[in-house]
Amino acid sequence: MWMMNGKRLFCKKITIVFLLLFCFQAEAKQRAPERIEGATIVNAEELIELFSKHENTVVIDARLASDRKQGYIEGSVNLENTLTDCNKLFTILKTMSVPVVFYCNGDDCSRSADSIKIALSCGYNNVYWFRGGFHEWLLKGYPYLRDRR
Amino acid sequence: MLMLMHKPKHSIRFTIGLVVLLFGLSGILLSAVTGHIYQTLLLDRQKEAFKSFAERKAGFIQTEIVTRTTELGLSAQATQGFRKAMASKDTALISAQLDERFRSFYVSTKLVDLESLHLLDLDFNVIGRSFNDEEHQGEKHEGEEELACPIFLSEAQQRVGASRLKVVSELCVYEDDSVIAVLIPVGGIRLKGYLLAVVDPSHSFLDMEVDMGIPLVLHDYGSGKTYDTDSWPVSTESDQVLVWEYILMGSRNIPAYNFKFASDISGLQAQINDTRTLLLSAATVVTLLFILISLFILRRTMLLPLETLKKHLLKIKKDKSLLGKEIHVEGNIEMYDLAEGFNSMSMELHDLYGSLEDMAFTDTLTGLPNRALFNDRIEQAARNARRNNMPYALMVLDLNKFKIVNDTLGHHVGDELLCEVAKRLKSCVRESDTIARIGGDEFAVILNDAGVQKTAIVVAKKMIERVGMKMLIEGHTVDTGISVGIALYSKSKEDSETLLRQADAAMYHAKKNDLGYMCFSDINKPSSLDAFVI
Repeated sequence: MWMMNGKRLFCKKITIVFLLLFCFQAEAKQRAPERIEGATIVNAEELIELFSKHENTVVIDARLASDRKQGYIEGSVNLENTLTDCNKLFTILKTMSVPVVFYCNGDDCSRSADSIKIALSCGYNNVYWFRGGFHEWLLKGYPYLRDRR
Repeated sequence: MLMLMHKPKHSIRFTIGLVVLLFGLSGILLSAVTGHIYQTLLLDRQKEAFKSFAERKAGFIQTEIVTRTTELGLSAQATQGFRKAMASKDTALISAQLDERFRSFYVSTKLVDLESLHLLDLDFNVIGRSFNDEEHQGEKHEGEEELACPIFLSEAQQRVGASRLKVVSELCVYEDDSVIAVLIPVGGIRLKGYLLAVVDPSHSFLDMEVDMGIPLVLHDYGSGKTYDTDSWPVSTESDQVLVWEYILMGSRNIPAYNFKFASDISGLQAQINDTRTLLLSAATVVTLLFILISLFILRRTMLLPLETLKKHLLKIKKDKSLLGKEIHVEGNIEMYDLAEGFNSMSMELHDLYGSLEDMAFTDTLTGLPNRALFNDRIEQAARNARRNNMPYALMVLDLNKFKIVNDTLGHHVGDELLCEVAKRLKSCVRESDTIARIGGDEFAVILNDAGVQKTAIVVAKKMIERVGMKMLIEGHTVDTGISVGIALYSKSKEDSETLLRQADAAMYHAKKNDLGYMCFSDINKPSSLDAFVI
């Protein structure tokens, strides 16, 4: 009898563990896609190069404001992916052909990808994706700013 | 030959002991030298370890200074005031913003000893400046201003592309100071210029004394300044203090700082000394043990056999009868061979000695004892008689007609005759008696334990009878006889020579009177003489 109870309890525990694992996996699956149709992937150096060629390039930081407080690429504009829509984009990007670069924390962050999809749907046609994001920027030792409180 | 040989001063025991002792001493000396080398090596290794530690520590401090200075520079750019000043391009406003940096956290807490801040445009022209030294603050500079570490700046200016956005730094010896120059980009992606921060790392390096817990004297090659502390030991000559230096090279391989540390190694020295003492003690004990074992083995295998041989040799020297007696020794093969050789030589000498003795005391013709041995035996008999009261009789015999035989039949027949006579005479006496040939045809007999005249007369008669029997020698029938003189030992005439003379006289008397035999004591008794006439 006791054995039966023990087995049942064990099965319950296993089920909970599997459920939890599934949830984490779902979270982990929110990785950025390898590429997005219509957007050009750039690395840190290509991003800097882009600026030296096109001074009107706009960099949009698609992260949460709390992430941005830890540091950001100087000259970037903060617009969270969840708040991004065509109207908001239009206030920042005046023409459809202006070069625009989206970034977020890095490979494991899909916010910039989300924003890019919205921007593409709005009709912007000169979209760049800094897929390595702030992680790559820090790793390569490029300077960043941290706003004073 | 023996005269030329000098007796050596030292024994083999002494020589072996000396060799083993020298061997042992060299072992101890080797241990001492090894100990010294070990100590030197250990201290060298210690110095190297300290140097490597100081090198890593100095590297870490430099990295920390650069990181903090970069943060300081980047945080300045995040302020609105700085952005406005940059936008206005007003040197006074920018310089005022830079002055603010000297009141920031890192500088006020002295984590970064900031000497100066310069804001440069993209062409590296100065557009703002600020100094730690209040004398320089607010100074206006006209014309081209000389900046710290010009070679470093010129190299930084030549960068192209994305690398221009990277923070670069260098430890350089500039004019009268060794400084760390940090070049921080301003404006991020939209690069607008650079912030050049010049930091004096001396105080940060001096903190190494606390971090490492070792007294330090720091010398700045740039300024020529030497920073020392109270903890520096009064004397560094003592072997309890290990002084070691580390030179921190600046850019372009120019020495920037000299770190001189004084480590207290009394603990280490004590440990080394303990180890060395232990090593030497162990070496001494092992050496002594080795000497004892070596001497024991050598004693068993060499010294004792040699001693035995020597003792035996001395015994033989005193008593020749020991010649030929075998001696057995235990030891090495060489010792065995030596003893074998000794035994063989002893045996040869024994044989040689025996034959020499025979030659000296035997009559070669008859094989009977000669006169020399006879004299010895007579002395012996006299001694025996005196001590044990065992009187003896002495007989002197002379062969009759020997000269005639010799002259007529030849010497060789005479010699044969003598041999035959000797044989016959010998058959008349006991083994314990002595019969000797004491002259050409003269014999003498010692009859032991013959105190009465009667015994001697019996023997004399037997002899006269046997010699008187005809002899066939080389085909010649020889008829001869003997005359016998008898003298008896008595306490009143102990002298053996006297006794011999008496026997001789008795023999002459017997020969002259053709009596056959005659006792000396009876010479003057005419009646007795008559009785004995044959």
